[in-house]
Amino acid sequence: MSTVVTRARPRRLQGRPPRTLIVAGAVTAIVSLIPLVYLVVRVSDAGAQRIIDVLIRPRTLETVVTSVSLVLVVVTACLAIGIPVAWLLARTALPMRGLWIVLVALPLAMPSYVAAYAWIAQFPAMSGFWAAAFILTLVSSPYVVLPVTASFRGSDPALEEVARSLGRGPFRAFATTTLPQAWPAAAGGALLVALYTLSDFGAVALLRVDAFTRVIYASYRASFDRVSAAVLALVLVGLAALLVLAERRVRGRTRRWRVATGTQRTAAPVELSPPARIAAILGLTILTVLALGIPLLSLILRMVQGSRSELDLTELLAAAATSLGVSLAGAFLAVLLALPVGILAARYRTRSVRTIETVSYTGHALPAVVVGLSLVFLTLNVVPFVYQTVFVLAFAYAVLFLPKAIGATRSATAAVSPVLEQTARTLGRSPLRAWSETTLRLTLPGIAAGGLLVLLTAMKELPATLMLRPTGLDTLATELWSRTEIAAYGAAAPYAIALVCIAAIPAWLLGRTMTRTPEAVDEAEDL
Amino acid sequence: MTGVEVRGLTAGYGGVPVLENLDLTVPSGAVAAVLGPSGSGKTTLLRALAGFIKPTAGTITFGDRLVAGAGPGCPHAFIPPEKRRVGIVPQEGALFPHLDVSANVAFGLPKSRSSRADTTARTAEVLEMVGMADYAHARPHELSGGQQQRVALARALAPQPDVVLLDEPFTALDAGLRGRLRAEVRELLDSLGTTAILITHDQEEALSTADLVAVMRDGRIAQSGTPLDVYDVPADLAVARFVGDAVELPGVAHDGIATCALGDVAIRDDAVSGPTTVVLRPEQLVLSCPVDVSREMPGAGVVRETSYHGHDSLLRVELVDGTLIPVRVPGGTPPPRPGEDVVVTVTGTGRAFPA
Repeated sequence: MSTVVTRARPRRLQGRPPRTLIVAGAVTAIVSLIPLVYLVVRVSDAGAQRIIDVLIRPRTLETVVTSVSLVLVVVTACLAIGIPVAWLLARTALPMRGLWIVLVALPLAMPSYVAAYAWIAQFPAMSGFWAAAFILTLVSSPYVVLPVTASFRGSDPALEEVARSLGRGPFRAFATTTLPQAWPAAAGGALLVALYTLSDFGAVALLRVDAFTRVIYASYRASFDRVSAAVLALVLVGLAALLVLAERRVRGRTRRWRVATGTQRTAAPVELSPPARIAAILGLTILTVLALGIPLLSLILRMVQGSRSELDLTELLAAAATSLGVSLAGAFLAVLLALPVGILAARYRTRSVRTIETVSYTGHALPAVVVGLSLVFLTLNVVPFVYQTVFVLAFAYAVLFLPKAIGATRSATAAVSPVLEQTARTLGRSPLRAWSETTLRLTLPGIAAGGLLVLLTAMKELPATLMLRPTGLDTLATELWSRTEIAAYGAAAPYAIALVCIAAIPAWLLGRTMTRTPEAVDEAEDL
Repeated sequence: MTGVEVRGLTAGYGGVPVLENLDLTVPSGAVAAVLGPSGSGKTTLLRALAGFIKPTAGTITFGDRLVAGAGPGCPHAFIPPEKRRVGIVPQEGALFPHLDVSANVAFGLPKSRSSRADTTARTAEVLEMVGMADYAHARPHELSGGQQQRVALARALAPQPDVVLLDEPFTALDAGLRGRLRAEVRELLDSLGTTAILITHDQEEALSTADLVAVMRDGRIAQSGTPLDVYDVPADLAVARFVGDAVELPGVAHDGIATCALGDVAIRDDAVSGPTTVVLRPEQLVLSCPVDVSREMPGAGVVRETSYHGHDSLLRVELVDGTLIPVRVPGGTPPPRPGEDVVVTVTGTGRAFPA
């Protein structure tokens, strides 16, 4: 046997991408801009005076203050909890470490409105700012814990050893070498938490906090005030865009700083003293009980109690089937739109490709409420014959979750050397056949996984579904919503459980990739 | 039979030419090595030959088939890769990971029902040729690096291409295997009479494997000739430096003799006169350790450094005028130690380039 020297193979191609691919990519980019552009058009139609009126209303300022405070509180709490937890998981000899990692990642499987419902069902007095901050922290803390854990695990222990040999104590060595390396991961995670909190509709709506999403939804429902809904939506988009830009800048620096080549060791785990160990396990247990134990217990209790008033199984199944059907259409459209963009982004790095990719990620910065609102306007005014049809709903899902499908296509394509396709060309295949017999064949599982992810995410989507669904169409999320609104907690439980089961699959995948390598975090962030 | 003729080729990416006005002739059945440092445009040349990039000027002809460029009767010919009848052996093989060895080899062969028997027979035949018949149903990841390269070669040869392009196919292999596989590939290509172009940055590989070595620099062919020509009669100083080790000494030339720190040296270049750079190969230098070295003797110097390699040793000798030159001495006897006085004499003729 010979040794094969591994070398970085060129994955990218030089030169201009084929025109057909660029055209297809441009179509995707334009499609993903539709909701935002139409919103801008609608707002500018209202005239400067109306816009200013809405902006200077005290209510607007209150909303901004509420949303921004909520974001700050949740982000601070997530960092305060997330970094120590990540250190425990990555660097200490904790008993049952693998189990803890799973338990810490699992809150991702709890859509915010399900968590909020579960807590309210048990403690009906819960409501307001701090309750929302509490629940959003529990639900979104994995966004910090997982990447920071990966960063702590991946950092080179030799650095810490060198710091020790240069006279630093164990804590200072960690604080001056490993911790700074984890900072980009923590900052990236914090920005995801911020974006999640800002865009969240379910928790703030159920807990009656007048954050942007709830106010926008309320003004939209009070149909006489659609301009103010649109203006507020634009302000919200502006805030979200700032977060996305910041997140991109941080992500650019997340690359590992390891200069040396060669195989890296993993750090020897720290042995905690018995009291510290008990404290650590106690802390993790409390976190898990709050984030998973109480909500799940509440759901099960409600389910059992609710069964006294009989469960309408056909209604549950019908809602599940509807969710599946609409989401399937959305996922299919998203994959189709993502294909050219993902291939371009993996293979070429020209300015036009970069523009197409960036624009196609618009959905990442658009809270679902905004997409819902814009598409309501658009369908009512421009294409009334599709207003409140499943097409619009599927389209909304595709735009919202397109980044996930693009990310999956891009990373799957980037993993296949373009040389395979070129070799197939010299062996007599036309460009399309060379692609389908080599690259497509090899990337299909990755692309399908992206589609599945879109499907599962769309199935638990709430605000856009509420706004765009045809009258009489009920998904699992809307059924849960309407039952919670009338305090029919028992009847809502089966829907909540079904939603948790659906959300558990992408959460599990996310937890797996996020704790592996910093590179994988890049891909997982879009989930 | 098919030779390759490249005339005035200009090609690049996005309007920036990497190759400029490049000429190259590879006779039918020859194995040519395109040798150049990274960034010299070797890979771009390969991609232009294979048809992955469209040249902006010039022509490429395989035999009497114009595959790219303007020619009589066709203002702008461009044959796409799938119709060019080229085979490529990429770096590290690039076998299709989802197909087994025989499916990889059969990839370029006809698939129709009527030709199935022929395809099977041809696949077996080429696998036999590269010594991989026992691995027909292995998966690429089960093969070693050398085996993967053999299969990649079989896959390229199976459809009987006019030209085979080898893109640094041996660089990822360890030294011993590299030499063996190189010799085998050479033998196979000779016996088939296929025209082949080997892209490489390894001068030893180019000299030992090819009939013709084309040295590339800055998007052009700086010199093209037999390995002997390129090594012994480099066209310019840069080629001399790139192909093999060069000992450079300042000197003065007249009438086929150059006078330098090593005394009078015969040079090939009668026409050169005046101040020159004399270029010699380290193996042309012979070291002796006379008992009475006088500093006035031509070539007198002191050993400054000795690195022992077993089969030979490489010394650095400081001449009287302060120049440091590398000298290779054969193994067998202990090499001189640093500090010893030595005399360096020259055998054969050198080259001189105007300084």
